[in-house]
Amino acid sequence: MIEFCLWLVIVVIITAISVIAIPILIITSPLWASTLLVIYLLLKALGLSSIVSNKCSQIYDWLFFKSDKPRKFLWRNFYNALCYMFPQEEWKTMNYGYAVSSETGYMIVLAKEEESERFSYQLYHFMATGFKKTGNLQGQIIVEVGSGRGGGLAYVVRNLKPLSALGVDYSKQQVEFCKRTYTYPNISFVEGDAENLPIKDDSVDMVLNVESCHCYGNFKKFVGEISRVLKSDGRFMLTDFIVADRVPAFEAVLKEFFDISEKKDITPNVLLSLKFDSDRRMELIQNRTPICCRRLLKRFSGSEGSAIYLELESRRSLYLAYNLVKKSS
Amino acid sequence: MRLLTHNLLMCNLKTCAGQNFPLALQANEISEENTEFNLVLTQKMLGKLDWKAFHRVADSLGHTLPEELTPEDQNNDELMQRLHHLLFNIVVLSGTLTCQSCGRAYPIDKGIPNMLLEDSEEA
Ligand SMILES: C[S@@+](CC[C@H](N)C(=O)[O-])C[C@H]1O[C@@H](n2cnc3c(N)ncnc32)[C@H](O)[C@@H]1O
Ligand SMILES: [Zn+2]
Repeated sequence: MIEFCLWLVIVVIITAISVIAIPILIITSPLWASTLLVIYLLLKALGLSSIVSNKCSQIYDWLFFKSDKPRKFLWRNFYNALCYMFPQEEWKTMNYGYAVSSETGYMIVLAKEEESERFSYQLYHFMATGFKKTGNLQGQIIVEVGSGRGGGLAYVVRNLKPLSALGVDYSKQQVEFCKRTYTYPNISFVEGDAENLPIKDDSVDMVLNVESCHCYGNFKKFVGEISRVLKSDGRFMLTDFIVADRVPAFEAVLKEFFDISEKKDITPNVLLSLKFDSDRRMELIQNRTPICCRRLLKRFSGSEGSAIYLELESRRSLYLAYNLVKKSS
Repeated sequence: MRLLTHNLLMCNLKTCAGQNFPLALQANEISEENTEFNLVLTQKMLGKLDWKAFHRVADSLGHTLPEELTPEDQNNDELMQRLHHLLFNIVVLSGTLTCQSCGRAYPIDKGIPNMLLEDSEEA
């Protein structure tokens, strides 16, 4: 009852604000709009606009890629919102993909319905096979942290036949999407946090982590958790994009818990994938998303010319893949 | 949530000492699916299962299983079919998973366990 009253009060306040404030804003719009315009023109004339937009870029970079709590909060809401806006089942993966250097970039044979997300599945194939070294995962219990829309993990289950697979993601919308979409008896999904895994010690043969760890507030806590849940001979297959300057610190954390058995710089393969896939990504954004979100989505889409594409092309950021084995303690 | 998944989940409160596995299951709503019996798959899964935890959770759903699984049991067709059913066909749609040590309850909703901690609970 108390809760209901509270809600009522909140609703009344919001209604009051919108009834009173919005007309005021509209009536006074010539005033504040022209002020904004003057400020904008002034900044531009003084050559300060680049400084301001630089500052904005920095703030954005800090919020999404460097901070601790805000980063976690923002990404979670970003993915929840994305999945809410875009519940279509034909969209199953969310990574920049992997292409081999050939005319087509193809590495594997896929089913027809997998074709549209070919390069994303190729990245999964590349990782789950330990860089194309094993043909199957028979008898293994595998976990994916940051499983997103689940298409990658489902691909691995269909094609590499692990004993069982568990996907963990902290975005409720996406976990519900996975639960609806994949119904194999040996695949399951839970809501959980990469930094506090709800999985018991020494129980997993392989952990997959694909383009997810850039979202985590506390990377070291995450790596420690993976080491805890893996069996002593377990493997950790990790891939993501990383700002080149931060690679040494990144690897120092990995080496606290793991030995790097193999490392691949797959930046060229990811760039190729983005090239092959550019049109499809742009088409999706252009035709299927509300106009107000397109700018932000294009920024993340990785299409040729987008911010992340230029980052990788200039090698200011790298896309790296690691095959890690647990340190014997 | 299948019982197979229950076999991996633990309480992840950092302050939770001791017995954070297995979680006690309270099932409010269960659906039974109809996957085809697969002896080899069942045997393989049993090889990887924490039997004590599985025994306990089956018990809480009213299925009594042997305390220990002997090699002969692996060829007991009737038992294998029951185990297959428990592992792959029983899906808990709603309920809770409760830590036996600290009492933290994790809800299961729409078949999905929510193992996320509140901000204030994180270490
Ligand atoms: C770029 S998507 C990649 C999804 C999937 N791996 C793929 O390649 O299709 C990143 C995913 O990481 C998840 N994620 C980010 N931070 C997380 C955290 N702290 N715990 C669990 N999942 C997280 C997001 O919800 C999102 O689904
Ligand atoms: Zn506990």
